[in-house]
Amino acid sequence: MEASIVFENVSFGYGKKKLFEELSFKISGNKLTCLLGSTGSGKTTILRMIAGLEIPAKGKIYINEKLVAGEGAFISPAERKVGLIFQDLALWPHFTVQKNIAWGLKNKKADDADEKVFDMLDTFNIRSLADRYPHELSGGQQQLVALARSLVLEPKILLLDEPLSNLDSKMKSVVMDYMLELKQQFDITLVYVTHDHRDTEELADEIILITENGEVALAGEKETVLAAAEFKIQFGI
Amino acid sequence: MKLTGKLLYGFVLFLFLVLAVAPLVFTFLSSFSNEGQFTFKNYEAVFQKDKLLLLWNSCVIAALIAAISTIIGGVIGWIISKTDVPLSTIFKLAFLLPLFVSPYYFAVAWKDVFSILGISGLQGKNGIVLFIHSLCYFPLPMLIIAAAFTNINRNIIEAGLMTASRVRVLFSLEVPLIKQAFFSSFILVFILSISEVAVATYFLVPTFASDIFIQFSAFYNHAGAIASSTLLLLICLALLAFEYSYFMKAPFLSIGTKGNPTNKIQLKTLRIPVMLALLAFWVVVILLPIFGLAYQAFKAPPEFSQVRQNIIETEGGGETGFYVKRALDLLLPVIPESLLYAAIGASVICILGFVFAYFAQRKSYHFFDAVLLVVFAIPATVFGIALIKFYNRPVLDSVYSSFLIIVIAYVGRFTFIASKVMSHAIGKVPFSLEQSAMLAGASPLQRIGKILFPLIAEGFFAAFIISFVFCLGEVGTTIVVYPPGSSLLPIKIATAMHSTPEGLMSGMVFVALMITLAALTLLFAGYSFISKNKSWKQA
Repeated sequence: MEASIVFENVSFGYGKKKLFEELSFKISGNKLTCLLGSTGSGKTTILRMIAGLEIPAKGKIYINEKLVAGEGAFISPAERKVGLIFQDLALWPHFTVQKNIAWGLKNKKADDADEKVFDMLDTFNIRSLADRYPHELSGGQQQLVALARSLVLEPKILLLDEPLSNLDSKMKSVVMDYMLELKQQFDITLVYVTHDHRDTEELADEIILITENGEVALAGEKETVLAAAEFKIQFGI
Repeated sequence: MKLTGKLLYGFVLFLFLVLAVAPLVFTFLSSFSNEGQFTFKNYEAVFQKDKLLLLWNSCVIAALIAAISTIIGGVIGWIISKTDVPLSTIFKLAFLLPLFVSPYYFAVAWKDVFSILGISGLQGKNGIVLFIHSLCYFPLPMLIIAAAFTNINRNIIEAGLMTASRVRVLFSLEVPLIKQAFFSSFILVFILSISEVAVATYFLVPTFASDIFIQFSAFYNHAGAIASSTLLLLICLALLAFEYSYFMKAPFLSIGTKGNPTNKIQLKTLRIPVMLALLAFWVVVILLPIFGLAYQAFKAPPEFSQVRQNIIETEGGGETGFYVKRALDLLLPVIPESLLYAAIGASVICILGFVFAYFAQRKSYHFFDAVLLVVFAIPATVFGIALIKFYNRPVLDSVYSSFLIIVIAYVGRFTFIASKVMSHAIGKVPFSLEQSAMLAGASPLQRIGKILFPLIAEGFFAAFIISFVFCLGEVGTTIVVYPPGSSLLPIKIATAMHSTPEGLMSGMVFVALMITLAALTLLFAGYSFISKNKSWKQA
């Protein structure tokens, strides 16, 4: 399977603080890859660079073999066919659930926007919530709306920034089930950021372990990474 | 803290109620009295056709001023908060200047500019009031709207950027999210401009507020003035009610906040042109009137004029700058008093404001916020009339005839602003810091002095600066209440407006403006020192 996302010697920092230097890795297509690492290791920043919300200082980023950032090239977030679930979900507070999901489609002037929106509402069993506002929903329901909003646009890549961190154990289980269904139902590459190694055991096909220094410590198939001694030491297993 | 704290809060509350609120209530009730009888007679004149027409015209002008200011302020606020235009912080400070200076000063300055350009016949024209007020008040919407843009959750914008262009995100997501800021800007500017008296009086433009002032001070028609004031007050309160919740939070008065950091829009090739456009605008609306003022102030008296002849005979020359020298002679005696009263006023305001802010943040005592807001929003002249009606009696003569009445005027007008600035500052400090000090045995004073105050020093000082400058420039209320035999800088200038040669008026305003700028510069230097001198901020 050809790599869906490629980071080639990417460097990035905030002001004087360097987050990572010449970072390189590949994420396979049509798989769920977990970016695992402690807080502050740069996982979210990697996600944001894939989405086009941050621009690397050096290096190149490819998505589906197309150069999207680096060497003077830059493709805007809206043109990358990438979905991003933010950690705080970023649902638009002044739009209903239906409008939150429909807005992106309306911008693209899709003819069958309404049909797609209703299909998506049904997929996640949230049709009854269509006319509610985000603040009227539970955390888990908001999570599902955020997923629906991204998936309705049929992205090739879906990025998830610690999607389970704000959920109780029951809702975590529900959302995890949806994640596993997503893998099967949608022809999509999933990149999932987490600091909790237990998420990877259930969900991941591949794992990339990022150190505190912003370096790739381990990368590969889930079983291989989980069995590695370094992984066990890092997570005290 | 329990009993002592409640006692302190109760005392401060009582003080403010007695000093500032009681006069307003008393005045409102007295408007229904005539020779001891309850009556609506005082309101009959207010609802006459000519008065209502005057009120309508004033509302229309105020609405236009509010609309123009909001548009100008909104555009500039967006540019400096959302784009990568160079020197955005400097522009933000530079454009704030009109807020700290009495609109009356700009009225004189612009008249000088038009005079240099050979434009005359401005007296009685609504357009000149519209022009000056729009340029004086646009910084307020700029501040409010810039703060609102900055406080939008970055992720909400970026979620939009994943599917739409910047322009679409701006108009579909950001602007609707901050529509309260636009409405609040409009309302605030409307209230300020409809209440402002000095500019309209200077250009002899009849407005409802100036009519109130004339009724009270020239015709001694106190009852009529109060009745008209009540009507104006009700209009202002009705407008405030629309955006009450937004004014109560007043997020635009949060000093030093960077909000949620959001990627600035890259202007690329437009970066320098936009910066130059802002600079040009600043030069035209702020620097140009100051230049016009200075030009007129330093200009020699007209050739062959008696004044000029006298200067040459008595001083052998020095015609240039004569008016500035003369202005200094006239104003120097009142400058120390003005600065002192402003400092006293600002200090009292900050102390009261701190108590209100602390209890609002830590104990959720919000019920008095509404009272502070109402007193703040009351037209300045109306508040002055209320103070006179209440304090002008023998038992309160020690207050009425002293500088205390001026301090009370300041406290009533500006405590709301100081309390909101400090409320935001206190809100950023977790209560757990004070609680852990409590567990360590610290007394309430120690907790506030050693733990809280160092962390809110910037906010406190910012509140002091804002209060000081507003007090220094306040004229709407103080011109009504100032005790005989005393005078303040803005009052001295305002009372001289129609009996002073143009050059001397320009000289006086120029001196007053320079004093204000000097005070602002010193205070900002102090604020910068406090802001930077905090090594723990780097941790």
